Amino acid sequence: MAEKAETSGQREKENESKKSGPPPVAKAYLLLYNGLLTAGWFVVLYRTVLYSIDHAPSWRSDGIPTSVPGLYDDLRLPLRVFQTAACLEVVHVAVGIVRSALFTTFIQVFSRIFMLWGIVEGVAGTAYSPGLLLVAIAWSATEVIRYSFYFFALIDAIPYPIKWLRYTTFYILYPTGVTGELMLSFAALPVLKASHQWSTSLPNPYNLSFSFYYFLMFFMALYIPLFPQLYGHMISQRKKVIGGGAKSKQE
Amino acid sequence: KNPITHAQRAGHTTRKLWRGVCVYGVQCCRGGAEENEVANPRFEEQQTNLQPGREVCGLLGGQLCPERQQFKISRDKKARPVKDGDSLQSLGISDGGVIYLKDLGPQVGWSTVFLAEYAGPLAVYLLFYPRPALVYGTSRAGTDIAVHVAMVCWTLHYAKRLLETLFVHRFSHATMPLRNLFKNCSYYWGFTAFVSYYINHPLYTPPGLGSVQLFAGLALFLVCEYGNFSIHIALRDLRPPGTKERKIPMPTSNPMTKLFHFVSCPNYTYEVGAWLGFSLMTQCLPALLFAVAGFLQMAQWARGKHRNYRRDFPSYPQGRTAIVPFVI
Repeated sequence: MAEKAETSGQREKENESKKSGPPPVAKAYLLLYNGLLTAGWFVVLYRTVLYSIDHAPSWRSDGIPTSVPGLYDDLRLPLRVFQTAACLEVVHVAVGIVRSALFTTFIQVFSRIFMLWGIVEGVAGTAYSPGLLLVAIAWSATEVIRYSFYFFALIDAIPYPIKWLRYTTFYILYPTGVTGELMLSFAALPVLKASHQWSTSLPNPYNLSFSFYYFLMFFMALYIPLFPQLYGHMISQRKKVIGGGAKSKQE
Repeated sequence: KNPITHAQRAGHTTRKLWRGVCVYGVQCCRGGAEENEVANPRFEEQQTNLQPGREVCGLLGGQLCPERQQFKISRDKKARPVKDGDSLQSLGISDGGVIYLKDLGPQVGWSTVFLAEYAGPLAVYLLFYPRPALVYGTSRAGTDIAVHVAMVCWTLHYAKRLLETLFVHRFSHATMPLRNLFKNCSYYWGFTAFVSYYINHPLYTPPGLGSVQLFAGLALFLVCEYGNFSIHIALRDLRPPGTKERKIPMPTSNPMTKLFHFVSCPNYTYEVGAWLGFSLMTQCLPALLFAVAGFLQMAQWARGKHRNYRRDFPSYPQGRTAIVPFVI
């Protein structure tokens, strides 16, 4: 039974799914990891929802918020801990206990870390942008579902609702997250232009100049080609996993 | 009503099939990006000598030209594709067996590839060399000798690549996927602009250790370029012309090939060495980043080749690593 699951697990092309392949110690560790991260992101989600409930009345009367004071204070600790912990996922793939594409995993983790530490933490004032609210909802909801999915995948017992959520909520959450990230980046731009933060100019012994301001603009531009590709990839993954009907080979 | 017999009567060989006529007992799976559709043709007659290729491809509507076809007997990404000349029988595919066909996508010929990938960096680098005012504004700064040496080295490297592609290399495949061309060109042209912009900049800072550093870097670059060339020649001589034969690469009379004792892909080792030399010589961080990026890609290729060698040749020498002696 375990063998069959393993072979069909190996056939599964989806990048992010963890197989029942890893040795027992690694498996126990991954169960712990995924469990902890599900809980951690749930905290983020919970606090974001509370914040929204608290502020909903003022949004209803004053319109769409142009600022979200206090939200980042609520989220700062769990966000920093649990998003940074995701760096381990690159190690998991590199070491081999998780079967996934190293490059893709790296890019995904890197973009989150860049957003959190480079923009929100790194550039003063961005944390007040309403983009933070969108990002908090999108990231936390996605991660709660994703990590719990991995958890159940490790024990070969994925409840269909979790699977459905994983392959359906992205339709809304992914564009939401992207919008939030672009809003945060956009909020950072004027600050960077004025302060030249993290930038260096010629001449210098390394013969390299760097403008974080222009880099951020380039980064934002990358969303144009990358978003449709990644979104399309999720759609095709969904067709394979859910569209195939009840008795899918990959289960 | 047997179509095979009909073909024979019409003067065709039994290897030619029409659309819809299939090989008895062989289940063909259409592999595209998804590789999960199964074509279920009706079977007519057993053809154990049949070679995968046009014939089997024809079962699925015959849309794919030979260059786009890749056949495998396993869906494992790392499994070897079927070679030209393999018959179904030699592959161990019998009645009810399965063969996978993958569409490699639109292909582009090698001459197009090398022109774009190698002539591009040559041209792009030289665009910055004269310090165009459009890029740098007007400047009366002097030009350090390192800048001229760098230009010569860069030109030498890509001229060598072009000439090797024309006269030295023998390719296993006649084409590569079109999508790769765009990706590769962005990489080469982009990095070239990145490196060239800074080296040719009026505010360029020459190497801190002066001539010593310049000569050391240059020496490393030249030695490694020669080493890379030596390996290419050695690899070319391994394979008899017109064949796709593969042999274990071994050192030749050229001392640069001694690196084969330590690594499977010394051409990549030398290439990384050359770019490290270039970076040292110019003391340019963008050049170093280019060397690192190249190393990461070539290490991946080297590991794949190393794996293939060890799989295909039981007597493959044990002590070799893929690209860095003793390390990886």
